[in-house]
Amino acid sequence: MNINVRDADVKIGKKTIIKNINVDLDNREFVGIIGPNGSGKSTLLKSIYRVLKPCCGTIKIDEVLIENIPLRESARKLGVMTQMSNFSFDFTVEELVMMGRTPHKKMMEPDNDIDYEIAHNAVKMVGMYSFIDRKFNSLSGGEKQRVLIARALTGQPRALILDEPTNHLDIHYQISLLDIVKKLGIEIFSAMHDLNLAAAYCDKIYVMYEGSVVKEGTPEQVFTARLLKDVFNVHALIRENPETGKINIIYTGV
Amino acid sequence: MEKRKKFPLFLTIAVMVSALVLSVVLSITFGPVPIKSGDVARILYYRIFNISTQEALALVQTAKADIIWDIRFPRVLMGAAVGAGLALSGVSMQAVVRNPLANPYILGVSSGASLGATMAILLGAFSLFGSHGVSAGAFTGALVTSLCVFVIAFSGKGRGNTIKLLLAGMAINAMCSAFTSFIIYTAKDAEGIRSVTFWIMGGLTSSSWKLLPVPVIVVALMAGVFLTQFRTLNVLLVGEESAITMGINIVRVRKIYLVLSACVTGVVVAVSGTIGFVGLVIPHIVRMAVGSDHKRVMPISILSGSIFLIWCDVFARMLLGTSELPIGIVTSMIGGPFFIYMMLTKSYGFGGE
Repeated sequence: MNINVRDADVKIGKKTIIKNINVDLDNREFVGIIGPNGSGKSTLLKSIYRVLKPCCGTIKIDEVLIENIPLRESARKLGVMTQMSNFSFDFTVEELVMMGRTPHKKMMEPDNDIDYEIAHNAVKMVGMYSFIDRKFNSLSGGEKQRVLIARALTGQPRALILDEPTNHLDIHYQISLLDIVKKLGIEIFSAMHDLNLAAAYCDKIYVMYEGSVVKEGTPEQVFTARLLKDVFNVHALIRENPETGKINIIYTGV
Repeated sequence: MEKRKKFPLFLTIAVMVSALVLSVVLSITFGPVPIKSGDVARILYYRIFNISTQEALALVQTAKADIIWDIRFPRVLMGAAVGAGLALSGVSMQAVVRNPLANPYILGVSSGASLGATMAILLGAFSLFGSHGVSAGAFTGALVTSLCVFVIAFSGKGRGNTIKLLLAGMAINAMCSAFTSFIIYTAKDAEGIRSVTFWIMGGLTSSSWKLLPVPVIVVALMAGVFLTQFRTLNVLLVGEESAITMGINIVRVRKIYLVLSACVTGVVVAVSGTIGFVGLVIPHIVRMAVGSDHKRVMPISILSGSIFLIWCDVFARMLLGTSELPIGIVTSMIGGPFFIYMMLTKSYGFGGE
């Protein structure tokens, strides 16, 4: 599946949050967006999963303009994990994960064994199966995050959009979660905070700064001491991880 | 994969439907003239299925049969419809605004209806509708206020949001209550004031076969609609963004649900006055018992609302012996302590975050 964003601007009220964005997602790539707080990462993702409408420019999914695709159809194609939201009213883990089947279901259609199996497999994948009857609100932040990933997987999406998926997770589950989504073999578009994880997992990285993409390319092309200083305002050494051959960033100060 | 225990939904519904039927029959036995439940069942059976054997005709032609058929039966059916309507509307309103304090009256339906009814009783407005003037006034009031709240909440700058809706509802509520109080305060008609008070506290006294069809049909229709909406209702509770990512056009769905719920509430209020507490509390009690999934919450709430209101009406008829209590007093007197008991003994979070 491919997603193409062309010259997109998003305004909230009168303020332009992102401008002139061009992004391409294709070839089962793991694509990361990095950037400091408020650089427009979430806004860009929201305009792709249709919570925000760009005021100009186009977004296409599989060559079709997003506004011409029924919401239900794009929901079937895109699995989305948003930043943690507060849930009033308490659902169990199973009920919440089963909601991931919503775009696949007709109004009166009951959930069948296959739906449950898909959901249970997703829950097992994120290591939450023993919590399946627990109330969602009784879980810790990281556990909630894993349940929300399971919900996104339960829709059997053809591409995943993740907004800081490793937030709240301990280091084991940060790596395990990125391994899981990487192995799915679908396009992943993810906002990332941890630059070393981004360097280790992403095939392509977009760097956002003040609402614009200021650099794009492979981790090797993107991560330079200069860029980290200009965009993130940190001093860092760029090294190679002797085990993986991937980039390893060592921060030395602000 | 191992089979996990599933909630026995069909069994629960079957049991509750039986309980509802039993409640209808048993509640008819209560009244100034006590009638045996066997007689009630037989008379209803003969009348409903038009059986004309010798024995049937003899029983159907007694005074008892008239009391049952003309007075108590329509009233009990009305109670069932009203209870179902309020519970249904409460469940959907709580989902639409994602707020556990929501009830069927958040669009200002109750105060609008009260104002309309007060105008009808004390000022003689809506006399054009004859004996249904009060109902017509109440329905008109409910319609106008919910329309106002709706328009206020979804126009103006910024996207309509649910907090705006709740606040607009409160503002309209306050205005209507003020006008109602004003009319009552300046009225000279003591008997009228008493009937306004009685109306505002709610009652099924005016139930008749003539009044019954509209609420029954509307409630049944809306129950049919909302029972199919369990998925969307669930997703609404989880929040706006999640709903969109699961393919639900939340803005449109919210508006449709609001309009439908306001219709049910308006119709129900028009025939029964503003019965409090049922629409707020029944959904919570049901959630405490069976969780938040609307596949279960909706049907069980509808049935619980019916049964609860039928028995509240029995208390309203019987408690004082000679005269009737407004049913709104009874729903709160019985429901309140029970609700507090549930609050104290269950680990239910009431939608706290």
